[in-house]
Amino acid sequence: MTSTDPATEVPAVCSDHYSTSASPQVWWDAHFNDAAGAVLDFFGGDGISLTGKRVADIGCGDGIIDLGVALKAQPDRMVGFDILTTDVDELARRAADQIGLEKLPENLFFATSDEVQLPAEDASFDYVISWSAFEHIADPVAVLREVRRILVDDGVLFIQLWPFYNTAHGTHLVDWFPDGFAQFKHGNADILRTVRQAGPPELAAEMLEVYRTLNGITADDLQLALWRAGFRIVKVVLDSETVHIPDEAAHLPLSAVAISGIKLLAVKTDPTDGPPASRSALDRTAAD
Amino acid sequence: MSSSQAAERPLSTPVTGHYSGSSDPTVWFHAHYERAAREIVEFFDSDGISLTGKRLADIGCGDGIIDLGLVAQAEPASLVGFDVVSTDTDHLCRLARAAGVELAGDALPAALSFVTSEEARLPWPDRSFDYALSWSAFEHVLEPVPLLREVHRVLADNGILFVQLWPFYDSEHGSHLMDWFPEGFAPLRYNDEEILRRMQAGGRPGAAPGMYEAYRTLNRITADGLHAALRMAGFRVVKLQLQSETVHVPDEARDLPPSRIGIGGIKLLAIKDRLRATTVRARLESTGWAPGGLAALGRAYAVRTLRGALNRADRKLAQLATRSR
Repeated sequence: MTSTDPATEVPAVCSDHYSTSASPQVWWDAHFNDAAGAVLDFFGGDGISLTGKRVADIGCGDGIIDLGVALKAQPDRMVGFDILTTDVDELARRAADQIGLEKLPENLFFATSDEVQLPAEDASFDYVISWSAFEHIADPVAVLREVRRILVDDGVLFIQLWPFYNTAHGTHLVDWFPDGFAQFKHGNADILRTVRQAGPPELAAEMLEVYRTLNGITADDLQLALWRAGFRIVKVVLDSETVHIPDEAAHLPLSAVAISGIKLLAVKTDPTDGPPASRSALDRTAAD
Repeated sequence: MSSSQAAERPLSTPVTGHYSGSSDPTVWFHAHYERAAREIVEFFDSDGISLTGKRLADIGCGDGIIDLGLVAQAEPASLVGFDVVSTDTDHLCRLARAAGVELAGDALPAALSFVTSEEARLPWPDRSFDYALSWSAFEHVLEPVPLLREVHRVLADNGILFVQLWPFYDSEHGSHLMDWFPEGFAPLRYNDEEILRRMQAGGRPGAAPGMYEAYRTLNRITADGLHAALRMAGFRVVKLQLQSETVHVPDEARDLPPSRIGIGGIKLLAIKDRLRATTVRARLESTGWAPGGLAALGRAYAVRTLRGALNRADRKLAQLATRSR
């Protein structure tokens, strides 16, 4: 997962919050308030509170969501993992600018992980969250197995993923291809040229790397990866916007083109006896 | 590194209780006369397409309330409602009056007519409609592909087909039995004997046999199955919107993929495709998708996804064909 400096100036063709050209304010609000709030609401809808719990974030990026969760939910600890070291000083500076925060809270930690290993003890977290990260992970099953390892047996995993690769802005290159579906409309050379021609070279290189390393996962693939890692989905909602399908994407199944995102809760399946864990993990947690 | 906002999702919620047989007749009337008709008009209108003065066909018109609403809202030149069950126009007039809708001359508008069709035949000339529409009907159609071929035949070459389908069989209330099984996923939780027994023992015993029959004859089509059927019939989807509600997945549904359990409904526009499926496949294989260059990895995934998509579509077609038999 890559963090992009939102202050970087590129030709702004899209002011949306997922755009690399989003203003610092928009980017902050989208993550500190909206994303962190969405995580808490999705748990809260099933009576689950993160307050006083040990929470891990997989692919935490710039850490803004983690700060939001740490402050809003007051978990015992909030630990953000990413293969790129989170710039804590930068996070503190942004928090001071945006909300006048004097110092980062004591319950917030960040740790650098490698591609498939999380530097954490077995069963050391009550809840794990992940926001817009699993489309960037080279080996989702391996990482999910690690998530399973660090999660307590009745723990719950929250995953949000947006955008899926086959959807309009699945390339993450919305700034350069506002009409979407660049992955089907244009060849590699076109995409490379277009991205390099606009904006600072380092941003172009970074976003091309992001595009190049997308794993192409679909909603159904994600379920399969979860299952292989020993998780089952217990709650799910799909994101879908109205989409106009260009000729070049006409052959794709509707579900691939139109499921732009997902939010889900998953619990551990029982590896010993085959039958899946029931929703009891959720029920137990809700009863706490 | 990004987020998705509920505010960006213009999805309409299902017409409240519109499939519930227990709803007030006036509520039912207005849910279709005003709301469903308006959603159809707006789905066309947001692409600058007006139904005014056009020749419309409704496939699976049922009680005809939506058609009456469309004529009032969009003023088409004509609207023909087709259904395998004859639409009771006297009953429609009574429903309208009871709901406070005034009909000029106490009769249905001259532009509106209803025709009884067969399962896979629309008794109408080739290319005689500008637009065709269908609302919550295709999950009941025994053989979607032959019927869609008929729609293709009666539609003008530059015509457009609107399809709304809700609820899909695999979604929470896909059984259409919400009145008896508010907990959802009845077909996964109970066998058919148990479903019938519970329906007869539950409320509205008079409605149970009819709704049980409606449940039993659902074609169990999925969103991707509908897409495959449209393609087989010569259509190409150009615009779509999925409906998805938050769903709790019971043990019995744990193996259903998100693309089936999570898609509650769909609205789409389709046009006649000049590029048939075989051409797509040939084109795909001839257009230099081979890995190489900067985005090799991304491309490799794209190729895999594309091939997988074609294979999945083929399997869906096979499934549909099996079910049709």
